[in-house]
Amino acid sequence: MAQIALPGIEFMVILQILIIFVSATALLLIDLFIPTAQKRITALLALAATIAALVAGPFSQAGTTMANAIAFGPSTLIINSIILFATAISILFASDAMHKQGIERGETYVLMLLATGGMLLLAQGSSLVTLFMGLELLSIALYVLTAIAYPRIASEEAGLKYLIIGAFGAGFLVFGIALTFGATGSLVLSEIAARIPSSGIERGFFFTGIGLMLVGFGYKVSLVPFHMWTPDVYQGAPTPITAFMSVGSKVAGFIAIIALVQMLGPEAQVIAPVLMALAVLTMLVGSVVAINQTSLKRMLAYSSISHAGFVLLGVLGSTQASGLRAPIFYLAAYTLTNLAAFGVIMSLEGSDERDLTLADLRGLWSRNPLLTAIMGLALLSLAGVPPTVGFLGKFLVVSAVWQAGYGWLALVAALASAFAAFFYVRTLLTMFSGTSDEPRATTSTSSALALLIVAVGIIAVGLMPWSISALALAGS
Amino acid sequence: MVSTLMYVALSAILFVIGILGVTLRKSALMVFMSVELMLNAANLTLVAFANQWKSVDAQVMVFFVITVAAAEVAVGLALLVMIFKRKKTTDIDLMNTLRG
Repeated sequence: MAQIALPGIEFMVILQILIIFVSATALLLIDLFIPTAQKRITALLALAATIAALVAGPFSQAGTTMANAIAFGPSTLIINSIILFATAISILFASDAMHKQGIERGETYVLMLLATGGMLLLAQGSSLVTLFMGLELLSIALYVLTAIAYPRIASEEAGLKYLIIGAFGAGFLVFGIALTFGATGSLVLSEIAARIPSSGIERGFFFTGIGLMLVGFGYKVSLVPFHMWTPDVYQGAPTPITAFMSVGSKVAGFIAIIALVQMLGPEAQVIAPVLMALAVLTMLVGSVVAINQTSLKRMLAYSSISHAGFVLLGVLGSTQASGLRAPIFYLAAYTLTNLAAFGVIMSLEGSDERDLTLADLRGLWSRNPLLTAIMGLALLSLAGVPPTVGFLGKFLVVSAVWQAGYGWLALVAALASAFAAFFYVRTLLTMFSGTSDEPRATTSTSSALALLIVAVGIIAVGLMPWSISALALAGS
Repeated sequence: MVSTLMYVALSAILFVIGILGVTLRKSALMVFMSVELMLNAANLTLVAFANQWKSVDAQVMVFFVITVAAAEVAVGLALLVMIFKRKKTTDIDLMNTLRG
């Protein structure tokens, strides 16, 4: 049996992960000395740590470390920035909403940092061990975050449901990892790529393993048919947490799927039909079922399922020449847009746990024009209307699959967009129709600031061509 | 010497039993146990293949899996205790506060 040799660590490669984990651990201690009434300080410290990690991005060093388990490169920088941006905005949301609803707890921010660390680990992972650890770190922190509103039964049940489904998915992932290891004798992605078996029972093991891993990650990014937990968990979790997990875990999960598909190289053609079927089902089911929803959070949950299908289209396109530009840009667009939509819902929620329905949006225009404008922008971007960032994302994804020679998939995508546009536009019209007797809705400084940042982002990134060319460089 | 394939076959059977347990059992505790079974089936495969390839990597992976499983169950049991205090049941079919 081989000797265990401790691998060397290049700290500049894992700089961002390091900042997040060290500050999460430190914050857990510091939080003990912060009085319950002033948990906002914990939020500010967590925000500072996130921004520090965001700033540290460009100073990180490209390369691999820890026996090829963790890598850093130009595209990782972009993904890490998306994740950290989402965390920063979510912390701003949470410090406002948790306070308003009387469920402000210091550990919320620590857990958010730990989940972020897991996402970064997933984004930088270049070995199946790191991918597994990143996914689990992110998941376990999110199970607790979902249930953090704990006198509320809905939040607790959502947490338990998420945990059971998440652990079930993790089982598939680990079995998939085991079979892939069995077929190739390595856990490092680059080594596996070089040793893909060409025949025999090993090839069977290998592709069974890849399939099981796809199921595991499919649960995390809620592809149909692994999506049934999504509406319940999105509805039951406190809204800022929903915003955080709807973007963070989806970005991180898709990066892992992209890493697997990249690893397969030309052999990705073997699983392409499976990916196509998943993408078509996910886009259509998500868009069609969303039409029936009255709860806003459930509607956005189905909308996020449908968007997962579009990202998967981008991943499919990336198996051909066009590279990672389309899926990564789509994830960035989705992050900005979803944060805006959930942020507005969060601002409209009262101090009780009542779930907002479509009817609550009636006459919003007369109550708060700014929130209406931001929600309208988010809905247009979700529907993919120019000049928003959502349009650019859809455009890149559809052109990527078109170039890859899957013309019919582009048509299915257009059909799914048309279904989805129906309920986005219906929600949009509801906000402008009728008047409301309810008092004028107000927003606090921190969530107003966060909402303005994402709203500007939706327009600015949508209009600026340089963002596309920057991504094109990173993707190549 | 038992061949690696036998181990893989055994773990595949255990894995399927685990899946059936998660999908068919009603008690949340039994579901947790079934998830453990799935993870340990995977661990058995990892150890068997590690022996075949003479590699320690997969054995280290097994420790990670065991640790993660313990953490997951700790969170799960904590949630279950809180829910049980309120609802006096561990039946996951009765956890239907959320419905669309």
